[in-house]
Amino acid sequence: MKMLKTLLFVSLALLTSLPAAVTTGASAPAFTVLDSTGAERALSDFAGQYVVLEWTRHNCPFVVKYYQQGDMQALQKKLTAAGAVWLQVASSAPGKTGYLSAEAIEALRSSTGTQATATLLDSDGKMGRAYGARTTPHLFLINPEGVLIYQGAIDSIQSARSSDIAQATNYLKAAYDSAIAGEPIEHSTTTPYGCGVKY
Amino acid sequence: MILRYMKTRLCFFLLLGWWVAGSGALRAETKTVGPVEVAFIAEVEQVVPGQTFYVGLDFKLEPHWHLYWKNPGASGLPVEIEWQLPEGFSAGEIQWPAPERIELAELMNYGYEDTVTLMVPIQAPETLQTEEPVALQAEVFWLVCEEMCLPGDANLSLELPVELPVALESSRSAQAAVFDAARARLPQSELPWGLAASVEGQQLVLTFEQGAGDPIPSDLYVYASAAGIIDPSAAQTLTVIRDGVARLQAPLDVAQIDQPVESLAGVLQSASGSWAFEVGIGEAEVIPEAAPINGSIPTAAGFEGFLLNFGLPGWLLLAFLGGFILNVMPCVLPVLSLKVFSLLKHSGQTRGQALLHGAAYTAGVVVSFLVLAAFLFALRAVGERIGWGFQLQSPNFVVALTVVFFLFALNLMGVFEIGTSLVGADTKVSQRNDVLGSFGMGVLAAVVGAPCMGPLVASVSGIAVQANAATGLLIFGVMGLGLASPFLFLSVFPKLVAYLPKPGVWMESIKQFMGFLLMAAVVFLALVVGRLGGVDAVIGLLIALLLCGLAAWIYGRWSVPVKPKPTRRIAQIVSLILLVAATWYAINQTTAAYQAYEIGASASEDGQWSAWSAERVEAELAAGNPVFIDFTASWCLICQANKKLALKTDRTTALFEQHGVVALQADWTRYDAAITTELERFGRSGVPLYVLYAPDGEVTVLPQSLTNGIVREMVEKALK
Repeated sequence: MKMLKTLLFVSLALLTSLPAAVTTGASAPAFTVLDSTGAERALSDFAGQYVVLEWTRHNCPFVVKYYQQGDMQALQKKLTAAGAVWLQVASSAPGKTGYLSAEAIEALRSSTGTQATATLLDSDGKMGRAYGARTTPHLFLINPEGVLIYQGAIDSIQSARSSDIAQATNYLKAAYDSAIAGEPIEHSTTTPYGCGVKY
Repeated sequence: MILRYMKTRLCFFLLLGWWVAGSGALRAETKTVGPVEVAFIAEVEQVVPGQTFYVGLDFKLEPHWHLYWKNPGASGLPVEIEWQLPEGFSAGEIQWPAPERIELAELMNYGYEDTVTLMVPIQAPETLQTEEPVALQAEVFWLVCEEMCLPGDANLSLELPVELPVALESSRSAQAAVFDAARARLPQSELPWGLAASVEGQQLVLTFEQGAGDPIPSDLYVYASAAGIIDPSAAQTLTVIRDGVARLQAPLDVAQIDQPVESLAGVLQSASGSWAFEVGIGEAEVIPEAAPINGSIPTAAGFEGFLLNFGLPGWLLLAFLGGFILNVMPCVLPVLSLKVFSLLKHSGQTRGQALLHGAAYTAGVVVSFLVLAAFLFALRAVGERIGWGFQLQSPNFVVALTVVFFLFALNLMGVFEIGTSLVGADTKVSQRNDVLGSFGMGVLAAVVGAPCMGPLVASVSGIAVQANAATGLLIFGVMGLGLASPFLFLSVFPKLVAYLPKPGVWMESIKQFMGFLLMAAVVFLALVVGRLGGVDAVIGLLIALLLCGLAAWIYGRWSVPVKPKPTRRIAQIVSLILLVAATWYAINQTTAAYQAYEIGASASEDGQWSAWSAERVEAELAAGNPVFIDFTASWCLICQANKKLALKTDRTTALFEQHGVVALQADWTRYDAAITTELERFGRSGVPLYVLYAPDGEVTVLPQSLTNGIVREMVEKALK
C-alpha cells in the first residue's frame, strides 16, 4: 500500500509539481498568465530586462508590514524607474484566504498605490508551483538573460513588524544593486518567511 | 468551543483563587489576544538566590489555529520572547516541545495546535539579598495561523517572592503540573540508535543503526532545528537497507543546495516518541550491504554466464531469448492462447493487415514493459526497495487486472459483444477496434508475463534493475520484444498461419472454451488477492466480479443493435456505472483488507518450511545446519509449479530430513524491502530464487525450474 501511495505520489509529482523548486543560477521557468487587466504576460515579453516576481496576498501581515508605510511601493518605484519589470503574483486558490477577482485586485492596486508593473493572476497555482513559491512575500529576481539570480525572503529580519524594516538588510534590493554593479550577489538564495501561499 | 473556553476560564479562576488564598504574593498574568490565550507561570513558589528555576508561557489556542516551532517550516514565524529581568537575572533558551506537522495547501508547517507550554530556565543571582519580590517581564511575539495569519504580542509579568536558601529546594507552585506535562512533550535527549548523516546529491541522508536498541520506527520524520536546511514540504522516505539498518532521505531545501552542510541539529519523531539529535555530516558513506554470510555468491554458469560476460550485447541477447521463452511459461499462456485465436480469425487477411496487427501487439508488449520499467526506476529513485513484478504486490493493481480478465472471459463466452454493428456498417471502425484489441492483448501479455522469472531472464533482469535507467529500459524493452517476437514473426509471414487449422464454426466453441481458461486466470488472481489481503479481500473481489457480471449481462442484453437507441444508451450508462462502482468497491475493500491483514503463521510455517530472515540463516549456519531458501511469491506461477513438482514433495522432504537441511521460505507476495535487498545480493530482481547454503560456507544457486532430481543432485553435491 505504501508502495502504491508512493506510486501515486511519484506520478503526481511528475504531473504537477516536479520542478518544485528552481535553483538559483538556472533559467527561470517560463510562464504565460493573465494579469488583473486581462492582458497576457509572458516571461519572454521581458527578455533583456530585470524581472522581479513578488508573491503577495493583500491580507497577510507580512505583506501588510511592507505596504502599510510604503516601503514596498518605494522599492517598486526605484526598480521600475531604472527599467526593471516588477510583477506581483497572486496564487491564492478560489475559496482560499486572500483570493481576489481581477476587479478586486485592480481596486487594491489603486488603493495601495503599488508601483508594480502588473499583478498576475495565478489562482490555479501553476506558476507558484513552478517557482516553488511558498510564502507571501516570496521574491525572485531574474536577470536580462532570463537566469534566476535571487530567490527568498524580502529581508533579513523575520518579523511582521514594520519597525524592523529599517534595521533589516533588504535582500532583493541588495541582489539587484550587486547585479547592476556587476558584482557577485552575496545572498542569492535565502529562506523566505511569511504566510503560506494558499494553493 | 464555548464550553471549552468556559472550562479553561473556570480552571483559571479556580487557580487564581488558589494562588490568592495560598501564597498571596504570587501574581501570574493571563492575556487573551484573538485566538490565543497566554499565561505567564512559574514552576516555583519563590525565588532562591543562585538557583535556576523554570518559568513558562502557557498557550491555549482556539481549534485549528497553530503557533510555530523554532523552525516554522514552509511559512510562519517562531514564538519570540524579549525579557526584562531584574539586575543579575538571566534567561536561557526556550525549551521547545517536539513540534507537530501541520499541512496547509501542500505546504508543511512545524508548530503546535491546541496547547503548548514554552519553558524557559531563569538563573537567579547569588547576590540576591532583598526580601522584596522580584518582577519578571516578558514581551512575547508570535504569529498564529489557521488559514489566515495574525501576528500577536503580549506584555506579561510575574512577581515572585524571594526566599533565602533555608531549604535546598524551593517549593513547587500550583502550576508545577503544567511544567511536568511540558517536560513530557520535550524531545528525549538520548537517541536510541546509532546515527550517521551525509549529503547525497540534493538529499540529506540519515542512516540509523539499531544495534541493541529499539527497532527503528518506519514513520521517522526529521525536523531540522534551523529553517532552510531541509525542504519541509517534501516527502521524506525511510528505507530499510537490511535488518537493523535504515536510511531516511530528506530533500534539501533550495537555500541549501550547493552549500556545504557541516552539521545538523534537529528532532526525530515517530508515533512512539521524539528525540533531539546533533550529528556531523560526513562524506556520502556507502553502507555495506549485508555482509555475505559465508563465502561468495556464485555467478551464473553455463550458457547464461557465457552471455553475461559479453556486456550489453550479451545482456540484450539474453533478454531477447528470455522474453521469447516467456511465451511458454504458465503465466503468459492464457493470454497467448487468445492471441493464437485472433491470428486464426484473421488468417484470411492481407499481409498489410497482418503486419499491422503484429506491430500493434508488439507495441503493446514493448510499451508495457517500458512503462513498468520506468515506474520501477522512478520508485527506486525515491527509495522504494522494489523489484521486477512489483505491480502484482499491489492489491489495487491485482483487483483491476482481475476485473479485466473476468470481463474478457465473459466476452469470449458470448455474454456480450463489443463493437458489433449492423451488418455492412463501418468496417473501418471495427478494424481500428481490432488493432486496438491487438495492442491491448500485448499490454495484457506483458503485465501478466513480466513478473515471470523464466529461465535466462533471472540474471539479466537483476542487472537491468541495478544498472542505470537507460540500460535498464533497453534491457526490459528488448525482453518485451522477445516476448512479442513469435507473433511478429507470424505476421511478417502470414502464410505460416495457413499451416494452422482453417477457421470455421468450431472456432466459436474454442472461443467459448478460452473463456474458461481466462476464468482459471481469474481464480489464480483471486488467490493472489487472498494472499495479499485475506478472506475479506477475496470476498470484496467476488462481490465486485458479481456486479461486473451484471454489468456485462445488461450491456450484452440491451446494448445491441436491434434495440432502440435510447435503450442502448441507458444500458451502456447503467453497465458503466456498475462497472466503475464495482471496481471502486473492490479496490477499497482490498486496500483496507491489505492494510489490516498480517500474514499469519499459517502462511510462513508450513510443514518443515519456516519463514526466512537473515538472522535465522545466520543462526542456523552458525549451528552447523545447511539452509535451503525458497524465494517465492504466490503470484509467481513458476514458483508454484516448482513447489508442487520439486519442493513440497515427499522425496524432497525426505531428502532435507536426511541431510538436516533447514528449509526457509521468503514470501515476496507483498512488498518486502528486506527480501528485495536479499534478492539483489544474488543479482536478482525477482522470484523465484533457490539458494542452498552449506555449513562450510559454500553457496549454491539452483536453476529457475526444479525437479526432484535437480534438488537431490544439488543438495548431495553441496553437502557431500
